[in-house]
Amino acid sequence: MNKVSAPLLDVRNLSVEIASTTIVDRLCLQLQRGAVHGLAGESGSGKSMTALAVMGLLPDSASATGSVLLGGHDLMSSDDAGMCDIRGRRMGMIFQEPMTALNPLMTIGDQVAETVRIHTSTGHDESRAIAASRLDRVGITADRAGLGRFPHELSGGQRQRVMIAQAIALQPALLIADEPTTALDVTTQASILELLCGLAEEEAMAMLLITHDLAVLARHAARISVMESGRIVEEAESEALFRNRTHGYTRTLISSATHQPAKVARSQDAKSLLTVEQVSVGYRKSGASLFTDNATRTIVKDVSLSVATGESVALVGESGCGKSTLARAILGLEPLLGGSVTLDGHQISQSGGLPESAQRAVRGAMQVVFQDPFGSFNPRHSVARLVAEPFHALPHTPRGRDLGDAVADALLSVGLQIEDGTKFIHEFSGGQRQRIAIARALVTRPKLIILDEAVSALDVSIRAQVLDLLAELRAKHNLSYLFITHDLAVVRAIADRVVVMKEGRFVETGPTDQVLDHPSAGYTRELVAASPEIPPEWLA
Amino acid sequence: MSRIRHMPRALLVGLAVTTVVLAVALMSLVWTPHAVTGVDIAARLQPPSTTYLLGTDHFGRDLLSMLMVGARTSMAVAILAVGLGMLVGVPLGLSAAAMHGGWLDDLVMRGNDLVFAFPVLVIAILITAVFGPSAVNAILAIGIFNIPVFARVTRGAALAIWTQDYIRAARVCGKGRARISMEHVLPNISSLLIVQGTIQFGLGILVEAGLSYVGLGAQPPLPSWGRMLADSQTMISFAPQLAIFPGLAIVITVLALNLAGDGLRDFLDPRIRRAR
Amino acid sequence: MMFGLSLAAASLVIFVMIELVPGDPAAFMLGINAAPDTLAALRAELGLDANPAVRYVRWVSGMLIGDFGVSYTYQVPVAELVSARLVVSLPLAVMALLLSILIAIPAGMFAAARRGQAADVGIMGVTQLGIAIPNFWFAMLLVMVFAIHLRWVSAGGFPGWEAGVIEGVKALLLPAVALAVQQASILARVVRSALLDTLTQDYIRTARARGLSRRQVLVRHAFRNAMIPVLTILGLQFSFLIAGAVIIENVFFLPGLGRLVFQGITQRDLIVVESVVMLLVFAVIMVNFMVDIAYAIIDPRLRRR
Repeated sequence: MNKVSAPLLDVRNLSVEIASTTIVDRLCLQLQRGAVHGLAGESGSGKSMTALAVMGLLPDSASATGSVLLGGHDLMSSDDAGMCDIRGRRMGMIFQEPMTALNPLMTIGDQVAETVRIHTSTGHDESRAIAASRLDRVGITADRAGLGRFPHELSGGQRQRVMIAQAIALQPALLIADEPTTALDVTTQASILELLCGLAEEEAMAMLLITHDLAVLARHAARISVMESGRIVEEAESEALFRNRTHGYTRTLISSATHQPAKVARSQDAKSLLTVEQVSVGYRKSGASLFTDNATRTIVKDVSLSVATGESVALVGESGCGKSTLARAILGLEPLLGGSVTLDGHQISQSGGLPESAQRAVRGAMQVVFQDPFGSFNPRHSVARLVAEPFHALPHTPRGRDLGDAVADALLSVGLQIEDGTKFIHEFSGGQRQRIAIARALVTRPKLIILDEAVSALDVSIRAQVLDLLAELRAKHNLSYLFITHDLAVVRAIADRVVVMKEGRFVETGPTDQVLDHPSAGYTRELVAASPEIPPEWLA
Repeated sequence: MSRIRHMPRALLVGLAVTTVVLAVALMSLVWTPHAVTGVDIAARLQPPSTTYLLGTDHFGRDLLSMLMVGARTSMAVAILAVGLGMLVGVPLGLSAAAMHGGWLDDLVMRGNDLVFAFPVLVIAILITAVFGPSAVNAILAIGIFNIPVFARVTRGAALAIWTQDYIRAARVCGKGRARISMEHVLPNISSLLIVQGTIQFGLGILVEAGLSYVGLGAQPPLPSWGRMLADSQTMISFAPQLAIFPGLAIVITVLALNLAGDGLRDFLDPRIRRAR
Repeated sequence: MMFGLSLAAASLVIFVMIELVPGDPAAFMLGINAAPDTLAALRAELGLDANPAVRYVRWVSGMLIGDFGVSYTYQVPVAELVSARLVVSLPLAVMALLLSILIAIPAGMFAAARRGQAADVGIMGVTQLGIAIPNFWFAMLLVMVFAIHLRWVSAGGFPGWEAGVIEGVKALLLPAVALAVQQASILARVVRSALLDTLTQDYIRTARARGLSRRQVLVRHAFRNAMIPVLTILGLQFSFLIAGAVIIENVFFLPGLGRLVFQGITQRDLIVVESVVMLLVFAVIMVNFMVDIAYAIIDPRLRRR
């Protein structure tokens, strides 16, 4: 190994234990000045704990051993006062959740200036001036209220910029970014990552970029360390890592991230199953009084869509575009302002509402899987009872043996055991829970399943398995899917056709390959360009 | 049974002491060391002895016997008042959450604010002014004061449950709001209600003591802890035990209930969190 | 707006309740043997012959200009009676409130900063006890120790402010302490748990990451955020403080609103009861209104709503 210069950050044999469980296991890591170093891994691999250990911010219940050298200075032997001096001045950190990571009661200017004021003897005005210039650097210009704004007045992306400004206010040598864009929309993510990498280069900062998303690292990191259950299993130059795929775990990660389930063949002349005609959905504005009854905020504006039998359609868009609201409206959970929804020839929803009996007649034909594998189940019911719940929608509920058989069938078809029916939901992992959610959706033998970000909360390897399962079930039962997602990789994996949504309207519709490879609408182009992707030639 | 072994010590102590007080209160229905209604001037203001374990009051009544009957009064008033508050407040809170943002929700919340503006003592004063003082009035006053407490706690917890996806899944299955409230919401907030109930129980005992101290609660000759303290006040310079024992009885009971409430919160909470 | 509506609703509830009271105040005042025409004259004089709606409007509009009517038993304006008592009750409540805040905030902060250590366990144990002690009983214990045994203060009564501020404060000190103990215990626990709660927030970690020490984080970031739940409890507790004050006045024979209202009940002087109750409810609503304003001062998210 040719030693160009002493590394800025040198982590040797770092181990972290919580309640005698090893979270990080003899980890070694070297970072060079001005370079972006990626740390990849699935949830629970110990990457966040590594970052907190370097910062000296581990929870009180955790204990760390090993050595962490920053520019030759040993951080592990520093007391908290010594670390306080280094944190914010020599190294800064950015966290994942921009909505909660800023003090809601303090102006953004004060929060950035605080970094300056506690480390230097700069006066009030001067530290405010430094704060202003750093905020300016991250793209928060001082016009209008500027520094005097509070976090709640800013969008998620802007808050993340403020986070960056407070972390780099004193031009630290090391910046740790822990999933800095995971909570953000894809177009915002792209600009934040550009900003971070630009800063690292410009100010000769070493940056540790922690993420679960290999595609992000493919584009931005010079070197990548792959972490699995507390250990770094492989470290290499970015391109080499993807090209060689030396280690088994790295191979699994990369193949899961780019996984394509087997294509489902379907007949082209299938008839339309779900028809959404000129649907608008909205809410009455909060604060609107009895006298201004018409003051509504329209979330979904006059959209039309159809899904054929056996077809899988993806509805893509960024947060707040109205895709989930539309899904809820199709499910009958939101009243329509206008238009109608027809399923299998029966009208199931129209503005002004339909009688319960009309909805009930076809309810069993449509089911749903939600995003959150933890919030989707009543913790006090057995899995069998949870899976059987959709029978409530049917006019004739099966009883006794028939019910048991139906539940058992559903569990087996998603790869679970019949005995799992007697267990409770907290005994299952996230991936297993999502299988149970699919079993629940399958139990009434529906024709259409609406999947609302159904794989977004899962790790890549689990996600690949669930996508495979969905493809298999679709082929077997000639199911139709309406897949709501923000993730273009998922769209490619599962959808025959894609609908792109922005600000309540559809901007583009077409076959998946055509829309993603040759987008015609400007917004789609922006979306595709912003979506991180591992260069195909690296994977050849 | 094995779950009892995992209970924290404070919770065990709290539950045990509460059970003992309840048992003593029930026992007073069939047996007390001495009668509490008779007046025996010859035996007045006796110090503690083997005949009168805690001594006697100015009418010669056995203090221990009076404390036992007083426990019954306090417990009965507090339990019935908490029951009244739960019986009215929980359904109100559940329906307000089910109709979140609707007129019913508004009505319940505004009603809550209005009742909250009346200190429990003021409610008791108003009720007493109308019906005259009695233990039933104390139950009513404390019960009315408990209604908005339970309505608010129930509504807040239920609203959090209503945002969960399993509620949406149930709605997709065509289940109505009332059915969802009973099947999905209530079971998942029940442990919170048990904790709140325990805390309100303790508070109820304190408030009952205060009301009967100022003469708005149980009326003589029915002994109550607050009444005993009021009677002892003129004698504290020469018979301090008359003021000390009833006070200790209140402190021990309320302390036990609060320990049980706090313990239950810690004991039940992690399970709720893990389950979510 | 909400403030006015709450007051109107509360006054209506009180009026209706008092209307339900059986018996005629005029008959009560004149005794059983009163001649019918004297009774009628007195009823007219007291305004009892008008219909309830008219009397409600008269009562409310009277209060708006400070006219609370005339006491049936004392034959003096209720406003005079009440204000004479208010100069005892109000200072008592304020002293108790200040005492409890002064004890609770440092105690809660100290316990939170030393979470799980002996100091924390000790403070929490004392507050647990403080919550369980009825304040009027604690007041009796204080009298036993400080008035009867040590003879430092008198066992009760109030010399009046004419006797000097120091004498007055001295007479109110024991009652205020007795009242404050329970409030301070509850508040200290709230301060502690609110602080511990805030300390787990993401923005605390952010602040630590920019180099603030644990102490700086507690003072600069956690404290203000923790004040929001503390304020809520403070507002809710005020109602208990009022009730407590009314009861405590009985222990110390203080000529405050509490004694006035209990006399009113036994003497059927309903107009006094009505007015004092209204005043107490007004105080509670007023405090909650001030708490709402304080929220807006602390929390920028609630401004301009």
